Amino acid sequence: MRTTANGVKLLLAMSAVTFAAWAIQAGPGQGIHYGPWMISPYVDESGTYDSNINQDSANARDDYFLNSEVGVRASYSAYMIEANALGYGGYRSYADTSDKDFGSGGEIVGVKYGLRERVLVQADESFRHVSDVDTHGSETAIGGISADSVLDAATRAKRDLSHFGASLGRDMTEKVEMDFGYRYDAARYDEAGLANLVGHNGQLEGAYQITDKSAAFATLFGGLQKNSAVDDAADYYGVRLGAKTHGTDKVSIKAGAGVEQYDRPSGTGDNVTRFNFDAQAVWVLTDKVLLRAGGRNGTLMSSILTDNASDYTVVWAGAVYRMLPTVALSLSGMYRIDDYIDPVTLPDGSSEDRQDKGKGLRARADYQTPASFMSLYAETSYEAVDSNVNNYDETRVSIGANLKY
Amino acid sequence: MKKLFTMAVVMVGATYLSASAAFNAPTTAQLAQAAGNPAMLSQMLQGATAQEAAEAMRAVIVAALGLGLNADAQAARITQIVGAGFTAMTTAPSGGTAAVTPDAFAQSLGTALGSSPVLSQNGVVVATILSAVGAAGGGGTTGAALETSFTTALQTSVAANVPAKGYEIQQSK
Repeated sequence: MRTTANGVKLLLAMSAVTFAAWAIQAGPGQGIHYGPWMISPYVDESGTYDSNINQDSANARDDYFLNSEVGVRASYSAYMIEANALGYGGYRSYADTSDKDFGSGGEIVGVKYGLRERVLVQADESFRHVSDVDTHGSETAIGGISADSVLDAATRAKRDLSHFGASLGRDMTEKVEMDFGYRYDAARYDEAGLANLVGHNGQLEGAYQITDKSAAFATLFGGLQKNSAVDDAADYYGVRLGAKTHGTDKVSIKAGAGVEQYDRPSGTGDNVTRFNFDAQAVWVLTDKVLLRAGGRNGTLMSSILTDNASDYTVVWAGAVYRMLPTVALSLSGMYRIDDYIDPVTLPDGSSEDRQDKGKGLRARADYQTPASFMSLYAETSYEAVDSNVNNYDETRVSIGANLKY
Repeated sequence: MKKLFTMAVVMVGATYLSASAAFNAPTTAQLAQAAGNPAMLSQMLQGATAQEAAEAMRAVIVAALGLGLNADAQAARITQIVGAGFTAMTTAPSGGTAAVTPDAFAQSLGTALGSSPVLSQNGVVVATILSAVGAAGGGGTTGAALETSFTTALQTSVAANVPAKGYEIQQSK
């Protein structure tokens, strides 16, 4: 097993060196183009210091790790159609805690066709073998439905993630817009004690333009959540009413609020009716500074406390400063509360309500070097969880380089 | 009789002009040609709606990424494409009206460019497009409309999962 891991590491290192040499000779870093087709192989190497590699509340252990990723991006672009694909494989090796080394990999394919004044169709699918943070998860957003509204964003265990999503959007008239989105997500864990999760999520939204700069909208949403440890599925549905601005000002806001009904699997507890909201705002402060903020809430089955579910609320804010065309600085922060519906059993056998309050901060700098095939980045992140079951905090500091053809 | 003939000529002429101004979806070869020569956009976008023109410009900018230009030349080309398309769609012909208002076109263009996975994954291209907006839109509400639409589309397509990506609590059993 160890020999195999070393072999993979050696292969990745050789690929990185070979590709780096090739990219330096090849130069431009804009991909290989053939008519409307483009492919762009890349290598990403980063080194990270992690203050608490096991996210332990006590006996925090720090370590350094090296992340290597090799991948290929491909795209097809023509009038009214754009398709893109990503395939990648990676390996993480720790300096001291080598039993935590792991490999990862996956693929993402997406396609967009049409115009909203006729009909705009989008679809994507993905499979990712992940440990730790799912760094490519944000590339699977479809129809404005976020992954964290389907699966619990609450474990760093080794897992296989499958995804399919599709959306239809149309401007019915000059004043009426309609959008429909669906996404399927499944998480299969490679660890005893973690139940696999499957989520189906649908959303229908209609908007009516009230003034030149604003519209009112209604969102109907619903879906199923299945946990492999429970025979029955949870289902939920709800409605939000809201308003949004059209982007003629420097501030764009979309916010909706309503109610959600969450029906738990039979025999696992009482159903829940709760306030539901989803809001996003963008503020173009100057041509170089951009501010973003948002928040949402919902109810999710748990992969760990299998007959339980949590009401989650998450809010975030961030800023991007494009100091130069080649330099971008970003700062973001988020706060999340997971409030479990039923009391949980503690190791000492007692029962207690569980609430996890987490916060995260991230600062990042990206630099596109004069050699357009190479970009550099530095990032630091801090997250802390305050829970009556487990507390921890963790700081990471990374530097990395991305080479692409 | 002469009046009738004149009216008929005018009607036929108007019909012809209307037909000739109808937008034809550009082929991939035409998109590549326009990427090499942005001045062709004024011809290509004739008769296009705001969304059709914005989508064509998105495809032309993507085609321009494949021309093998160095960074400065590529930025200049993207700026030319944004400027040429913007002018074609928002400048009123003599005696006529513009195809679309600057603010309305800025919204369509911002959305088309921002929701493109190919364009939104390239930080330098994103910065170039944002800077090209200032030149094309002349600042004010038009510049803001494009920037905000562009950024909102970016947020929808790329950053909708910010919480899931940036913060994943380690649960204890």
